Amino acid sequence: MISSLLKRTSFLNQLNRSSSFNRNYFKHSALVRSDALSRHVETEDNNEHTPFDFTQENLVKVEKILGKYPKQYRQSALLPLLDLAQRQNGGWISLRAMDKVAHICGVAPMTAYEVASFYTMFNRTKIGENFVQVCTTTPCMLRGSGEIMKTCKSHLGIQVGETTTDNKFTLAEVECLGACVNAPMMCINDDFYEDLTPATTITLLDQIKNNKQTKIGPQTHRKAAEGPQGKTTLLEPPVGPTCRDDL
Amino acid sequence: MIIRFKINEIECEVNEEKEEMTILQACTANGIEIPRFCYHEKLTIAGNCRMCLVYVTNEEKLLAACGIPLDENFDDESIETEIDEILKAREGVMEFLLINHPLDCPICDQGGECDLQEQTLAYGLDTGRFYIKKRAVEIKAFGRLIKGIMTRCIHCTRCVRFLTEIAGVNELGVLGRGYNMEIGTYKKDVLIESELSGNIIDLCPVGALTSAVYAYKGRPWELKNVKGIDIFDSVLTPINYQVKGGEIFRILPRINDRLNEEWITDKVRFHYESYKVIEKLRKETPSYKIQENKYMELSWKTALKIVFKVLLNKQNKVDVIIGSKINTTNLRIYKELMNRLGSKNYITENGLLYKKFNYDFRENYLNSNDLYTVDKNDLVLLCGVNLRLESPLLNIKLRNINFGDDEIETVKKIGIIGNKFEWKDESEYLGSTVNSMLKLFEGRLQYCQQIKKSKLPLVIIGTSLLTRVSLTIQEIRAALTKVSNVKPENVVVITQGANFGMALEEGVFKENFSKGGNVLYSIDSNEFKISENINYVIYQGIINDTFENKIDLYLPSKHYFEDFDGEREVYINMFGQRSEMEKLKISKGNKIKENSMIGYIQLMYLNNKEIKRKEKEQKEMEIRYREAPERKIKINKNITINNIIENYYMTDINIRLSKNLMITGQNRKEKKIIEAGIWKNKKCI
Repeated sequence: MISSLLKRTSFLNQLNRSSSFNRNYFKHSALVRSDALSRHVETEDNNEHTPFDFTQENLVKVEKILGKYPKQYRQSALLPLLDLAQRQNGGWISLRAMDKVAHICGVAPMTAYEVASFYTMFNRTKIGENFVQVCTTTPCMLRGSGEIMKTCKSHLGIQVGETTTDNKFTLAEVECLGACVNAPMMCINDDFYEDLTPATTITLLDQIKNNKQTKIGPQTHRKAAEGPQGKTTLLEPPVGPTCRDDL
Repeated sequence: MIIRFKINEIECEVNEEKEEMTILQACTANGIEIPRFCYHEKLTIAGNCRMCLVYVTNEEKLLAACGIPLDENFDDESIETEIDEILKAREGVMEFLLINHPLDCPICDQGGECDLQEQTLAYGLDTGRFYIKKRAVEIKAFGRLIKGIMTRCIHCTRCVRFLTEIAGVNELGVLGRGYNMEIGTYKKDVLIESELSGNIIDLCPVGALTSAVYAYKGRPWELKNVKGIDIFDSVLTPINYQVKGGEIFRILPRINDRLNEEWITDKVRFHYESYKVIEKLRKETPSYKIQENKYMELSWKTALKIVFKVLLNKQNKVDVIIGSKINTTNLRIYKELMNRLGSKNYITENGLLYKKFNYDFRENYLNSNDLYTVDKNDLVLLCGVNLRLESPLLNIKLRNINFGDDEIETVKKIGIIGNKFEWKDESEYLGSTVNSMLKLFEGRLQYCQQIKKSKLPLVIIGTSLLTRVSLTIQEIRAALTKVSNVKPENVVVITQGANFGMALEEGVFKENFSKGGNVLYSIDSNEFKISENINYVIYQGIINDTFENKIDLYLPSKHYFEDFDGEREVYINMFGQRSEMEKLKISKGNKIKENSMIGYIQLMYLNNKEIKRKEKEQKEMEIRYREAPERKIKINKNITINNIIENYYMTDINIRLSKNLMITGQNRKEKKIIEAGIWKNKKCI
């Protein structure tokens, strides 16, 4: 009796798997990756006892940043300080780093957690030396970002959200980074690499892996965002100021 | 300027200079209800649920009624709240809220009192159109008292706002964004370290935050409300016992805008667990100790005979200690009884703490200022008081004082004498010993200049100070008025014990009580140590855990809410206000008697008209401020003023016997978090 029942259930299972009747044909919820997790993940690298303190150089910067805001509004410095902490900490921000920043700004640690978890540019888990962000929003997708993503995955041997075993690369899929004219593009640490093809992607990744100099910007002969016939407008030199003095 | 506008064809007026009103408040004032999730009267406006959209003529879009103030732009406009466009908008909002809300209403504790349920019925769509898999969020544990089933959360952020703005702890926050947004503590296993954390259960419009103690126990429509009072501190917060079949299922606040607004402490919210335990553990008949741990059951007749024998024996000197929960009638009865027996050594349990109370003057133990107008005070001085532990509900009133925009000058507006605790950044610590207080009286501190400058200073004097100095409040008042322009009503005394004011009113207090006799008659009182002189203990009460082994004669009496003849009983709080309590019956043993009954029998007070008459006469108490009589004062200057309450969760037997409260207390003790006030965070500007 039991065996016959088992047979029947296994048959049903097979039916479920093979046939066109698939229960989960509706769209899945988005998978939650490390940067999107809304909570702290206790690891060896990142826990309550991981020490963090700003270096002497950065403490000078901290003072400079705090100086921009009136004393009672010093919580405005939360974002730039979190960024500073992330840069010092190797591209990601630890629990104690957030606590430290909150302490400097005179707010509750929770406020720092809220801010850091809201903005996707803060990584709250450990990442590799180079943070590879491939844009897959519509313009890049139309220009073949799928291929670029595939190449990255296969060349680095990791999936999105993972880090390579040698701790050199972490791969991430991001929304528009604002370089649609030069699509497809990816951003490695602070630099944009544009007009990519699978081949140039591989050479780029290899260059970075071997600590060689890379060409930032378009990977073709194109200069910046110029059209195929070169520069046709805005020929005279730009009139300043180009940037705020205090930044 | 007077703004005239119409809401659903009803003509309304708002005087802009006198009152600031939002559209939602104007609608409520005119009897029009607007659905809402995130808006709450006592919290700041968030405006993120979008349920309260209304139509205003000449506006392109629908407006969120909760956040739009009525100003001159609204003059001659008309506001519509029930037109099709709005119903459609509400339908849309409901539809989005319900995308990820699980359909577990049958097993949800909020069912029956759920805002989402009710508003879906009124404004929601009859069928769903989304077939996407629902989002699931992990269940979060916020300690032993609050259960967080966060999948049900609709992100109204009421809990976050309550904890940051009112309770002053920043343990909850909005984490992540968009689809991944969650309410949580970020780190795992974080306790919400507030004495008022239970209020987020009431605030939650859905079943995301529910009481862990009440989980799966009952449904709101089965429960009957019985009016009660929080007898664990002297504010006497009005509460509702929710009862079914002679058992308390939960305790909720009654709203009193002057006293507790809408909040109650965790202590009273979760202490009802203990009644079940007590019913199991207690002795149901009078019993007499034969040997160590061996008791003989007696009838009431013989038990009372023994009591009389002991009390009337002229060789015995009888001490009477009356419990803090005892009601006014019983106070009178037992005072009368002791007077007839010729003993004057009686005191209430809380009276034991204090050194000196000149109870001839009412202003020594009652206050006319109930801190309702605390906003007007521009300086606060805390003398030997840990408000967070001694009276959490007054603490939150103080916390929300707005000291204006002087922050830039870093003026220290709050002075603290006694146990060091963090207030906002402005606080100034003046010292921990009695000496620093005396310095203040003599005007030798720098802080005195600030008190002189301030127009309406407020001084709060707590039990921690009064237990260590033998000064009366009158004398402290006189000393303070000399150095500053403190008005006498602005010197507020925080006393301990529910009916302590009434006890002093009746004169149930004795200085130097500890030099007493050899027989102890404890009436429902546990919180003291028995002195060595005592060789015979009569305990008349419910259950005892502090001197259980020493009891020679045990008389079972009822709980404080069963302990009176009529339908209701009166308590007096520390502001002299009457609080009434309805009768609630939960005791199961037949032989358990009311304290009042035992007293009457003892008194042979069959004609109890006199006490009844006194009851009728009693009204709200008037408090006049007079000068103190002169006397020589000796004070030891080097005594430090420490907190009298060490563990907030151990102050009463009912709390010690509630499992979840006790564990919460232990957890916090281990973490050593009970500092005085959590004032870590400044209010966001």
